[in-house]
Amino acid sequence: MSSITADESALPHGGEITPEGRIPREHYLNAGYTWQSWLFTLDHKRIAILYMVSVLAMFALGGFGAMMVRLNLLTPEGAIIRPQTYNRMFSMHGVVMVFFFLVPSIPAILGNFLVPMMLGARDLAFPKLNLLSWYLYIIGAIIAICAMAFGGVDTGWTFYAPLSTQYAYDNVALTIVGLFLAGFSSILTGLNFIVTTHRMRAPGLTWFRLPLFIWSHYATSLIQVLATPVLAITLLALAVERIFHVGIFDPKLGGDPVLMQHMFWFYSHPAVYIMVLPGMAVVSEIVACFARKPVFGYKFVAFASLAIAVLGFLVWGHHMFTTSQSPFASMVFSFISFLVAIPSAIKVFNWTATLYKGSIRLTTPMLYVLGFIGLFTIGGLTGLHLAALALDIHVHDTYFIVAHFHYIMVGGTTMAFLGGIHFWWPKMTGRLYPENWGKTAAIILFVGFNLTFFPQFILGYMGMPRRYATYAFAPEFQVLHVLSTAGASIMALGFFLPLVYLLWSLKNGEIAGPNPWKATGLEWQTPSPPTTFNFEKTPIVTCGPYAYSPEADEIEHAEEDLRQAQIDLALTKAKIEADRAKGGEADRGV
Amino acid sequence: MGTLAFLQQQASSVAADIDLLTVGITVVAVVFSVAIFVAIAFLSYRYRRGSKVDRSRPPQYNHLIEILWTGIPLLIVMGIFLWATTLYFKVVKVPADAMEIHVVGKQWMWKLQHPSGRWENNTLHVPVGRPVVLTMTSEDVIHSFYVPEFRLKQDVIPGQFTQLWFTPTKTGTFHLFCAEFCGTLHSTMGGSVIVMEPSDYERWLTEGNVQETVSAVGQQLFRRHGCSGCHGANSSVRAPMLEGIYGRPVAVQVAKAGVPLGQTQATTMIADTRYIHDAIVLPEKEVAAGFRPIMPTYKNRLSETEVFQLIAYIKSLSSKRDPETRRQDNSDRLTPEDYEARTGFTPENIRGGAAGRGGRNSGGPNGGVAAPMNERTTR
Repeated sequence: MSSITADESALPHGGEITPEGRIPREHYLNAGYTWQSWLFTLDHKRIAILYMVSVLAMFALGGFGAMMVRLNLLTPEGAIIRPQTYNRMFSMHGVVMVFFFLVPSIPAILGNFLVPMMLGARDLAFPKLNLLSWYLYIIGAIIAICAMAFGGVDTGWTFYAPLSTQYAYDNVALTIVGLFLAGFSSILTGLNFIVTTHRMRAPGLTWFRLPLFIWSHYATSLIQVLATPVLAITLLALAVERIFHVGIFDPKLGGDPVLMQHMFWFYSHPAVYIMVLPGMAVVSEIVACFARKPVFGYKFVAFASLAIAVLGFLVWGHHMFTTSQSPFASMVFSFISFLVAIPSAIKVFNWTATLYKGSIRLTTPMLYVLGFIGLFTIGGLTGLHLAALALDIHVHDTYFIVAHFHYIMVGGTTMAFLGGIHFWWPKMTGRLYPENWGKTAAIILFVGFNLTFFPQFILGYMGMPRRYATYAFAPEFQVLHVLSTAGASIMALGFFLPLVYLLWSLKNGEIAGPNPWKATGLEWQTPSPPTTFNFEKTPIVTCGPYAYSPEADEIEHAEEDLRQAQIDLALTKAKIEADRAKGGEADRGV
Repeated sequence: MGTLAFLQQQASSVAADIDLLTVGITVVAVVFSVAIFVAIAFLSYRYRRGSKVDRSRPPQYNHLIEILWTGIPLLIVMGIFLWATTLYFKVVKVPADAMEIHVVGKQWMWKLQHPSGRWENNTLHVPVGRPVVLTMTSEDVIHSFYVPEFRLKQDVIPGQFTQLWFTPTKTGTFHLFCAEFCGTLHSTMGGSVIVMEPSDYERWLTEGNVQETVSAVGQQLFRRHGCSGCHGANSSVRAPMLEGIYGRPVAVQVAKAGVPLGQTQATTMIADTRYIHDAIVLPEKEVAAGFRPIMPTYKNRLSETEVFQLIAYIKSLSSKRDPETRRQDNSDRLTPEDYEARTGFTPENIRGGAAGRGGRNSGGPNGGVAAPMNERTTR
């Protein structure tokens, strides 16, 4: 990848490029216009687009739930909806955002698009399995939407027994079926990435020449394959108990409700890393590109991903410090939870150090990514409060937790997702988005996010429990709730703007060319948008990733200045000439 | 130490310590976040594209730095771990002299009973300065008893006893919340904790909704449900005596599916709340060593509240008589007819025993699926 330059003439793809547009005559997007060419496609890039449309639709649905929640909390008695509706809204928000947005967002959209391209492959190892995974996702999503539209579900996304198995009135079983299918979608994606990474790397692309994007996705895939089956088992057991009244979790039937929490969090804590590791993948690529420097401490960042994946399996009990779990078990879980903070810290330090002696451009993707680093740092450090046993007893199940994981999930993953979408948008569509609108939206989102969630740390410490439709017992919480809702409205604008200008750019955006960011990485060696088989010839890799040089960028920048100065000079000369000519005419007394 | 009292009052003996821990961790968090924010802002400005600064030989890695920024945070978090864990064990260790109040949670209310017998709903009156332990269970779903001014919460779990203790340090009215989502009206399942001067509390106990003491109600239940028929002092049935048994070690044979009870090894366990609860609700699970498993289950005949009352009664029996004495008596006078006449039960679980030799434990369908009562002994 060392030889990668921005010079389009050196492109190895061989695809024909139209002279005026720098867009290849044939690419994956215009390879077919029939509905069959999309719904039966085996092209990983088209499947990525299918995922993008469906995942974003789910994001809108989850966002609607969040808005209902925030609006209702404007007054202590509940401003707009009854408690039952409120419970359905926050449950929908949680279920949709976790299982149908955060888990598939980066891996299934950006990962699907980029993993084969970064490896120099034509497609994933199992293209049909890839298509199947999208079908499982979409069928699961439709079932879950039906369950929530016709009756709703009011257990929260955690489905704690025996509330979910005996006492909730709503469509719990149907929702579970939807999640069960979506879980298999996730497993198949993970399996595909693992096999592809092992078997389909281009010649010369050794493990330590892999972009960190691949390392993070590899770690994510391991978790998906190993942890998601446990979720499937848990959901199955819940459904069996709810439908057939077999005692597994409900003590009235002879079950153990805490067992359910163990099984649930054995998946759902590692799932936190399914959601955040791909965000870290995006951050590593973008920081390197816009600092024009290789990621500092590459191997430490790579192994930190694996360490997070492994340790992430051993901390599930920290969700249960206030149950009847033995204090000694809690002590062990607390210890390992503190340990898992370390690899995350290593990543943050290395990304920050990457900026040192860089040549930094604060483009839209870079703003999102710097936002990620800052907000993920706050989210991670407040994790220390929660890992601390004595303190968790107080803030567990309060808004402190809500704030903490939204800093990780929204401030972290969603910021990285948006950064990644902007960064690879030119590659996916061949068009640039309007840069100034991009920066504006990123800043609006950052401000709105902090205004929404920072007050929630304070609310939580004051004792506001989560999942409360009303807080009539404690009206003194209202000020912070109003602040938080105001922030949420600003955030909504921050999400809405990119939707508008990205769609606008599809027709009206500037033509991007193969490599608008002058980035290294095999994906940038293809035309934008890429052709169906990505590479005309399999690329051969001769050195590590991130062959950026800040010094070279200095020279380039100076040359750009020089060119600009020459243009300015020529323009000035021309202007003066024109003025003189005009002045001469005036002097001659016309 | 009123460190975080401006956010929420500190009203229990541990609140100030927990707030101090919060301040400690927050200082670490703020120092690191500010360092990262400042570093990002400074580096982004200084090394912005086109700035005239030295970019020669940009470093790609530095092992010493990596070791430092792995090692130093590790030391810091281990320090926090030790601090928090030490405090935690102090927070969960129930003092022996704590006054016990029974709490039953159900959708969507709290029912609390004081030792003197006074009931109350959704409000808890306690005296200031005295350790109180709440022994809690739920009749339906999981709830969580949360008092933010005490900085304490504990889940309340159906089929299990959990305990939460505190010493109020301040009189006043504080929040009581249910912190675990428990269904439609979860957000209304709360009320207040009223901490009073001890003299006011004593007066309060005698006013209003006063019933007999919990143990007195338990004593009536003990008779009404026929417990005294076998466990009473004058019973001819060979059953363990309960005087002075509470809190003492007892020898038991723990049922194992498929193994005749006579062949299981006897072990010793403390006759605590959990043990007595299970002995009433799941008598086949742990059988007093040397006794036949003839006790019928009271699983669907007693509510959790009534089991509480029975336990309170058993607890109140002072050790007037050594429970071991009857154990020396090896005569086995019980016949199924005898048993039925006394209790009104047809004891299926002794049929096999009467026909063959020794008791056979019914570790089958009933014993297998029945839920044991777990108690956190330290909370």
